[in-house]
Amino acid sequence: MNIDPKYIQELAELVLRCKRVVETESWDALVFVFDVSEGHMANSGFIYIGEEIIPASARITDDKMALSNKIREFQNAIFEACGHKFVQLLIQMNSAGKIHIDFEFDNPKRWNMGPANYRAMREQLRPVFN
Amino acid sequence: MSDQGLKNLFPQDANLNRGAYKSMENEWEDWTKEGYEVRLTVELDPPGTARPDNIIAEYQVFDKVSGQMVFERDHEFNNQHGEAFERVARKNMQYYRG
Repeated sequence: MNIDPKYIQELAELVLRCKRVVETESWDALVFVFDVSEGHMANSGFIYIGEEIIPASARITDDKMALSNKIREFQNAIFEACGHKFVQLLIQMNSAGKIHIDFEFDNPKRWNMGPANYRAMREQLRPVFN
Repeated sequence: MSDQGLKNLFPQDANLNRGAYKSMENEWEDWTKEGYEVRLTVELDPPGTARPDNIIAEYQVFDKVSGQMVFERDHEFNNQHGEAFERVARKNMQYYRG
């Protein structure tokens, strides 16, 4: 699949402008999972500071729709490339500027942080970059 | 959490009001019934419009005993028919305790 790398860069830049990210000093890594469906988008995530893990969500204070609009744009680009729309989007970053993006076409609960697996997911979703 | 009265009034698609958005409000109520504190912000987009295109709800759930935030979620609803929302079931809220 051919995906323009500009989307990765643009998504990373938007995540770095989100309120929780901006106001959390000295974070080491972060993860956000976006649930994307027709007419609705939701996200939750975690910010990692050493051993501390802070629940978080992603939204830019002074440009509320910027990140979700970019995710829709990215979703459409993927759709044009392969004919499928993702239902979940995973964004992992660390403070060194590395980013990992993954998306799920079929299972809308692949990276869900539901009550039963909430604690496990905090660790499972912790970004690990080699 | 009780009915939020006038400050919670804005024109919504009827299905959204009865469905996805209502489910989210019910989830908030259940968090409080389970002893958690919910801090939430609901904003309309564009701001000041008579009928918003989007409804943005951000909420944090705090464990009253530890004082720690245990859950944060951001929802964005387009104000149209056919919204979906998967809420946290009340029976599962105990798992978020510290």
